Amino acid sequence: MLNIFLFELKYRIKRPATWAYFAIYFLFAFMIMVTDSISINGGTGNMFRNAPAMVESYIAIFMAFGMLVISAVMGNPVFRDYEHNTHHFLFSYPFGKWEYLLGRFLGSMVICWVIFLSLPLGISLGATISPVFGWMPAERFCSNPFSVYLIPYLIYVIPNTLFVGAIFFGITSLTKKITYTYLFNVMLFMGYLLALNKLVEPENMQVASILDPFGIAASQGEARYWTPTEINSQIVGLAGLVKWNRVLWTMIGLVIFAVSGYFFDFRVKNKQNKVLKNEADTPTKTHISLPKVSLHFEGFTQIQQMLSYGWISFRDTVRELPFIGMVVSGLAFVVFQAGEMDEIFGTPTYPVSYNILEITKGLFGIFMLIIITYYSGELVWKERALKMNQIYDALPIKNWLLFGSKVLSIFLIVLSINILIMFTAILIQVVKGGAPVNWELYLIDTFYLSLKENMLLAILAIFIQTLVPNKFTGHAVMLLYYVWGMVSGNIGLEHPLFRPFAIPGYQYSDMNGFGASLYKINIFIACWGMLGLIFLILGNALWVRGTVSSWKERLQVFRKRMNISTLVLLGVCLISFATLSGFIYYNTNVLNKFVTDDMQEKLGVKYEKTYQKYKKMPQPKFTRIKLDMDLNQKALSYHATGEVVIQNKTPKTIDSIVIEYNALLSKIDIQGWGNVVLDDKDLGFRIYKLAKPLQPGDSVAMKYDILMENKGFSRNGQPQAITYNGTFIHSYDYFPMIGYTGNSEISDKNKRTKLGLPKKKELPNPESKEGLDICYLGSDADWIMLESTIHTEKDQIALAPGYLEKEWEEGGRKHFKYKMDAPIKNFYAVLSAKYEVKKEKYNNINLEVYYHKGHEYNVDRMLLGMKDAIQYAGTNFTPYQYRQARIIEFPRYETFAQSFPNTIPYSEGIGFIADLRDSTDIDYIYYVTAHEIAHQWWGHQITPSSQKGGDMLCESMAQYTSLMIMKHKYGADKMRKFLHFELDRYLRGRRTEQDYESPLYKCSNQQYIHYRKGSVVFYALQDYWGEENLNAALKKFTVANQYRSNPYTNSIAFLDTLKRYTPDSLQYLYKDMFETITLYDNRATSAKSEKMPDGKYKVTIEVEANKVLADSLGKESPLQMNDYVDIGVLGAGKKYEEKQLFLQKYKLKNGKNTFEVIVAEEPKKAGIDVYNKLIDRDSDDNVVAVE
Amino acid sequence: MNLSIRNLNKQYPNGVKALNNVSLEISSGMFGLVGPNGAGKSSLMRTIATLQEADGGEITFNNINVLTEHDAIRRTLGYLPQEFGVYPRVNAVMLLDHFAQLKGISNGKERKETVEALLHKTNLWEHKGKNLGTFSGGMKQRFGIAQALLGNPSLIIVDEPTAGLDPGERNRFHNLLSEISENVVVILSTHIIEDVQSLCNLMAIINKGTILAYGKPQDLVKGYEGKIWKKHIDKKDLEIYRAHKVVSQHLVGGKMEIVVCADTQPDAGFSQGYTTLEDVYFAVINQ
Repeated sequence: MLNIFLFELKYRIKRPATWAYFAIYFLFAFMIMVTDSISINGGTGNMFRNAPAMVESYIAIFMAFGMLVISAVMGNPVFRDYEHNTHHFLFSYPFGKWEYLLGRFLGSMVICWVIFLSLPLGISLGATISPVFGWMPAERFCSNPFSVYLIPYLIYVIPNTLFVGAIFFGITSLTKKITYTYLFNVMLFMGYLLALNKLVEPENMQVASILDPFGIAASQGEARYWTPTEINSQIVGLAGLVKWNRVLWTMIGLVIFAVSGYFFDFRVKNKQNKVLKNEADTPTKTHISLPKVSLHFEGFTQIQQMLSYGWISFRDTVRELPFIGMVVSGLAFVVFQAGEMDEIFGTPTYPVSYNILEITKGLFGIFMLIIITYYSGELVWKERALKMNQIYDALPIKNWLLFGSKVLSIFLIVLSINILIMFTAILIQVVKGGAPVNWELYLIDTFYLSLKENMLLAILAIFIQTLVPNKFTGHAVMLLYYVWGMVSGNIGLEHPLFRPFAIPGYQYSDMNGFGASLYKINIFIACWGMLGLIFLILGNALWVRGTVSSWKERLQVFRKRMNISTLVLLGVCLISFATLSGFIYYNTNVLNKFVTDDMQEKLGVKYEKTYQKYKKMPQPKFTRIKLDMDLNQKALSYHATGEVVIQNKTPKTIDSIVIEYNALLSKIDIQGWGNVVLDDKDLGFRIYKLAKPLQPGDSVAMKYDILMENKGFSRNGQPQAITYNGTFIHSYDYFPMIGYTGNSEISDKNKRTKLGLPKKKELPNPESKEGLDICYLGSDADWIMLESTIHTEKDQIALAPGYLEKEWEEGGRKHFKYKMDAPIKNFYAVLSAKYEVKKEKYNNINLEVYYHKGHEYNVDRMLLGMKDAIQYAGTNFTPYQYRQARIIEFPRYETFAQSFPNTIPYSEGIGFIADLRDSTDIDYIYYVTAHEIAHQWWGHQITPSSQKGGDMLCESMAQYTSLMIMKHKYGADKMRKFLHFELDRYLRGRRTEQDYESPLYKCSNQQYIHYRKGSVVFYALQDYWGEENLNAALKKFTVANQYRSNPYTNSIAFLDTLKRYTPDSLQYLYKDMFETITLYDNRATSAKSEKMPDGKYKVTIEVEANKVLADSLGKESPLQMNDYVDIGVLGAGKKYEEKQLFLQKYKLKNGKNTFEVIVAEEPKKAGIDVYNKLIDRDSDDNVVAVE
Repeated sequence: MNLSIRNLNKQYPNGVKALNNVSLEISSGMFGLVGPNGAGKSSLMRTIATLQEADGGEITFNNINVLTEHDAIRRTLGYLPQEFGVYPRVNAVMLLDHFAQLKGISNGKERKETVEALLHKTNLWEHKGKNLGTFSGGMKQRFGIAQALLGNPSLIIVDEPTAGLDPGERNRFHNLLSEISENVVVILSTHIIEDVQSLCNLMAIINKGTILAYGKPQDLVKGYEGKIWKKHIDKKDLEIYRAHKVVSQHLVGGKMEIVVCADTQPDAGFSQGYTTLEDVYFAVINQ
């Protein structure tokens, strides 16, 4: 055995492939350490590039892709003997089956281990020399002990090699076919993807951790709440489920090896075991004479011949077992995943066609790539592999027929798979039911967009296979092409023309259909189609017919085949291709500005360095805006004029006005502001010198005139603000703003360091006076009077904040005039589409939902949400300030809802198509609606200052309000699932923090804090203090602070009000929840119950309580605990729906606490903080089963 | 029917001269091309079958220039390569029909008749529905000849068709070949001398790219009559006879027999036996 082992080692060491694999993996590992262009597993801001946990995850993730190498190395040794027919001798040599197998197996496994040494080596070398050469600053690296490399190597490299290796070794040993190895590669990868997908839901973590054959899900699940500090200082190692995952899959590997070894036949077998017997000596029937036939070679016959040839090789391919396996497992994967498609808060959406199609295609995408790449190679080399090429080559058929038939076969394959995908998608849609099948979308996508895209790729693959000396080289070149597609953008080659055969994507919307995207796609398809034709012409001329042995000969043949008509055709294609790519360039770079990421960064630097000085310059504020907006949906353009009044609210004379405007505007004129003294068209930054300086307190009327035009297409997708049906123009995005806003500053910490910018200036702290005079929503206005007239298409309804004053038709267009009768924030939007409207009146308030026809599903829920929210906030805080509230649907290009004064644009993608037929799912439509309505108070009545913590007053309070409304409608029980999601997202959010974590009262643009932590904290606050008490304090606050401007209120003023009314015993909550980052580590250790004579149960619960203080990077220190925490006992019921038997707050000290409680029914579970009201780092260990 | 090869030359990039000034005149009937492995048989066959370019020389078949008019020659050609495969998951009828289509039999009815006739003729009719992947070597070879006969070719090239077939299969194959060779040119390359003897009316012996002998088999044998001497010897004595022109040595019933080509009797132990074509073959290639 040792001999075989050593032979295998020696053989492999000498193979260039071994070292090629080593080099590729080394290079990838190395590159991660030296460039930000490659990023894996979200290594971000505060994490060291080589942070221990990151090194661990790199090794784990690379090992999943290492599967390809393992399959090549481990699948090969036995197969090699069959391929070269050496098994005839080997099997007769004096060693046993197990010696042979073990020797080969261990030999190639050791080679794998050597290959994967490249990972720790590459990472450590990269981390060492990257700062030396100045590729990345030294502060982004830490020095790691040896174990950081060794332990992941032992945990991931060794078992994966064993397990994956055993599978491939087994498969090739038993089937002697390498194709099955490829198939298994795909299936394993699918298992991994399935597991990762499951991991998204906190519920499924354990299943996923075990299911993932590579252990990545287990490891990532274990580290999902890790803070940057933890990531920078430790590895997961074998903690938690990782250990069991590794043990399980190692065992599976051993079993597979043993089983396949047992069945391995160490004898030479006839290859075909079902060969037909020769018939007995029947004489040949010599008397048969062949019929005379007429031969045709021209015209239609050639078409017939191509069809015949294309069909027969297509047929032979699709009847191959691995092909069927690949397609079937791909479709099975899709169907399996279909069950959990597109959920938000665990609630599914209606199976609308675009969603189903996108998800189906997305899931099948990787299979498609593999099939196209692999079978292009198979088809091109099929006849040569079968030794049929000489027969074909001597047939009286045209050269182009040989090549053309290959293209036809792959076309048939691509076509049939696309049709299969289409019907799978339709089947899923129909089975799920509830949404109509959009045939237009399915047919256009299947028979045009996807087909063309796949076919272009197939042509490329066929062309490459025609050039290369064997199919493996062809696959490698295709792999390079895919890698190129992924990295070219990152290395500065961002123009789409640098990515041949890539077709721009599209986002289908029920409202706007394909929108303007088809035009761009058509141009690209035409352009790459021409390149495809060029490749076809060249491929045909280079196609090997007969035994051509050298490139010299091939080129001779090539020259012969390039006759005049071919050359003319080639010329036409070249000219068309050049013209079309020129046209694309004209669109992206001439008609539109092509701004590369690099240029964008430079602009950001310039913006900050040149213009930040104007931030301090006194500027006037808008007080009145009269907007006239002419939408031209057909041309995707609009023209707007604004008659505005500005006022100098500063104590100084203002002689210059700074404005920022959208650099995409084709025109922006402002009359009455004096001379332009500075205009930066790239950044949209302009300074006017006023003819007559504006004295303190003075106002002046002016008029701006802007034109937004859509010119051709840009590098980005289609225009999404103005569309054919579903316009949503945000005041921030397209109307001029006064003053330096800071919006174009670069925020990424590491990018700033790279560009030599100082640390970004943060918002002022709420403790300071700075920023108190500036509105949370922007410095260019406090309160404004808004009036707007909008001109739109005849069949559309246009909307803007305000009450409809007039609506008329003129010149084949519709016109709407809206006016606000009270001041609002300078925060408005213009919308227009073909709407259905549902109206309801509540307390003299007009509630309206404007929705796309067909999206009626949840309109009533929205109306109910509006009504309940207005009722709750109106009763508990202050009255609703408007006479109307409107929800308006807009296309799914963005998925959010946003609250403008009495006007709430609500994306088609989040709620309108939510499927709440299952009543146990979270009703997030109701929740989102209530949240947005709550903003009419928290944002539009209470507007905080432009300081840290403003988000808490707007977003956390909107969360609180909607949580209360939900609680009253669905009951406290139903809130548990929702809060669990919120807690999970907060804890995960900490991991990806780019700068540092703030306490809630100082949060600044950190969604995981202001939404997620805000929800949990305010829910707990009302639970501890009582909802009525909290609301009473809130009412005091809202009454005192509504509509105030300079000075604005802030989070400190808010908390001060609350604290004033809070009992002393609960004052500690403010410190823990708002002012610091405090986390609990509570867990139940045991629970025993005893049935008492009276039929009741005595439950003894043992819990452990602990509390820690975390700093802004997640470094923890222990805290003394003297806090109230729930102790509870739960009865029967499925998760989140258990019956509550006992729940009471006890004051707990650190460490072990024991309780005895009596309950009336049989207890099932018991523990501490059973409903996860507190921020607890591991919320799953709070409850234990009762013994 | 006349195939004429003149001064054909071919050198491979690795320097091997595969064809060296080859000239042959072949008329209808079966023509045998014999030579050891690597003699240039397949190179010559492939060149005639338009699968390989020649460096120089010319080939004409019934006024068609084989080297330039590829399309024209392919229309009259039937080719059975030395080693060939089939689509494993396609049945005999389907593949034969497909080849018939590619051979230019575009009329569906004619194609069907031809395919059926050929399957009967090659005795594959009863297996017509079976996937070709399950065929035995002989059946596959017969399928090969069936496809070569599609479209009434007047030039048929069969490259080592009987290698690996058992004697029964070989016989059947020979019958098939001899039947079809009546009015067409059939070129059969082989290294089994017996085949040539039994089948061909004209033959050539080729080695190292050069035609060493050309003529009717019986004429070639006649040319060597009286020059072939045979003797049974002890194995260990082989060295002693090196001085003579030993063209072949083989074992007959365990004893070694050597064959020497000489105008006079080399020594008394040699006798002039019956001269076979095989003796001639060895004499020619070992000259």
